[in-house]
Amino acid sequence: MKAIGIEIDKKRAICFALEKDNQGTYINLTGKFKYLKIQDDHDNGEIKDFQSTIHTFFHNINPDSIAIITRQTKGKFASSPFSFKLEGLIQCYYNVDIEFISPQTLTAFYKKNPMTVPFDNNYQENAVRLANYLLNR
Amino acid sequence: MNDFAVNPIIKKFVREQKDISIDRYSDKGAYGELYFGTRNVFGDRVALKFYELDASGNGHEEAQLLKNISHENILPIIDARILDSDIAYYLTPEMSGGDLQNVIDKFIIPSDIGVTICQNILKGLNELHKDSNRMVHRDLKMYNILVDLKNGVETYLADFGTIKKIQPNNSSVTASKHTILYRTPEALSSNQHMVQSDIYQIGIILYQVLGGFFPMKNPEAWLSGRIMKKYDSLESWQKQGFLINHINDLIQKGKLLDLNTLPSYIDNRLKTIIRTATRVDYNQRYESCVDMLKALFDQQKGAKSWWIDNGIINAKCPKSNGRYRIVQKKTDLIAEYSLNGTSWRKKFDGTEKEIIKKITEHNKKYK
Repeated sequence: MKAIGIEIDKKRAICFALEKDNQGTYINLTGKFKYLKIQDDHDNGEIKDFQSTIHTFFHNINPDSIAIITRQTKGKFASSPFSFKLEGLIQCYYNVDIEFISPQTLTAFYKKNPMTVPFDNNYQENAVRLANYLLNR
Repeated sequence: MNDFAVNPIIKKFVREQKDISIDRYSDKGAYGELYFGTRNVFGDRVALKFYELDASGNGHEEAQLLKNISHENILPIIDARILDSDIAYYLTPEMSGGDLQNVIDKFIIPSDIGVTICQNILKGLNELHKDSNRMVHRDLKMYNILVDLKNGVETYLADFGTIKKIQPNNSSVTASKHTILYRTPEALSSNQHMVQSDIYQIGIILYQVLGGFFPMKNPEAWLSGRIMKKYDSLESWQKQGFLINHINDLIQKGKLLDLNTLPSYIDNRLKTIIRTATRVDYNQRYESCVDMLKALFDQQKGAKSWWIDNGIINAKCPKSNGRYRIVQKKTDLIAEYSLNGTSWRKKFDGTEKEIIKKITEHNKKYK
């Protein structure tokens, strides 16, 4: 089973690709593709490039599931509209349906289940938690 | 059509069949005869590649591969037919630009287009490399990349005659010995070819597309100074072996590419990408096409399009469409700027290196 967890943080999509083999061992498949960042969302070339690059990454991993952590769309803590643009580009991937998982769902899951997957950078934490959730829910 | 050396059965078929008006023959097809023509019903241009079958009628692997692997950057196949017990052919669209070598020989390729071409090749190659296929191309070179210029620069991976599947529990296959200049260090040292070997060849293509010194048609240009003198002193029958040994030596020492021969506007990040892709030790190269693709994506953000036209360095800001050109005015070198491409005014002066840096910074300020 392979899964990709994605957290969209401002102008970057933080990705974590995880595989759980038959023995229950976790394999980090992320490689150097830790995040993909957009500089200028009005640059059509960059937006198209973003989409095809992240879809090629998905294609390479060939995951069973991909999910994005939901963010608030309204209110004081609403996320940047820009991040929803990235979300839409990611959702256009045709091989696997992109799911949305709320932070509350993850919090509830990790109250009962330990998180044992190691990761390199602190900023990856939420994406790792999500990928691990997708493999063990 | 200049196809006098072609098998008479193929020649007869080409001249007699009614579906396609065949008008051109090319001797560039690596493993078979290549013809081009227009389909009479649809009016589109197609390429016909004829290939030989063995005694048991096998030999369709390339056509079958093209049929099974569908990707926007892999040459699509229209049809395949058996001509007689020894010969078959398959049909693909003809690409208006021809191969990538033809495109760089005939057209000015701005730096951003060069990078886009390589990104497209990487996307197609990723399709071969991905876990469910685990295939390596083994012969990536300018002649095996086709370019369609009808709608921008569409790039297609072609010539699947050398593709091999990496068996489970293995990470490599035997190397192909087809093109000397694209042979990898590991092919020479241990006759191996792996995913990173394809990436090495893409690194060379990127270097070539960006304008690095890589004399494909004049192998003697690889020799210089003392080595050239030694080469000149050899008997003619010794020369080819000497040349091949010298090129192999350059490959194994990682000296085949000279990044200093790239145009002065090629920035260090792009040079680092080429250097990483073409490292002698394959463990130090990009692990996958996706890693190299990401590096190129990051490099392209906010980067300007650069090209040389008639010896003049030009640049274009993709967002503002503002144009720059570096010209000699009396004894000074200056950069001129124009928003419409007609009225130019002086923007910067200095040495070429300083001006290129200023143009790059100017772009950043705009953003």
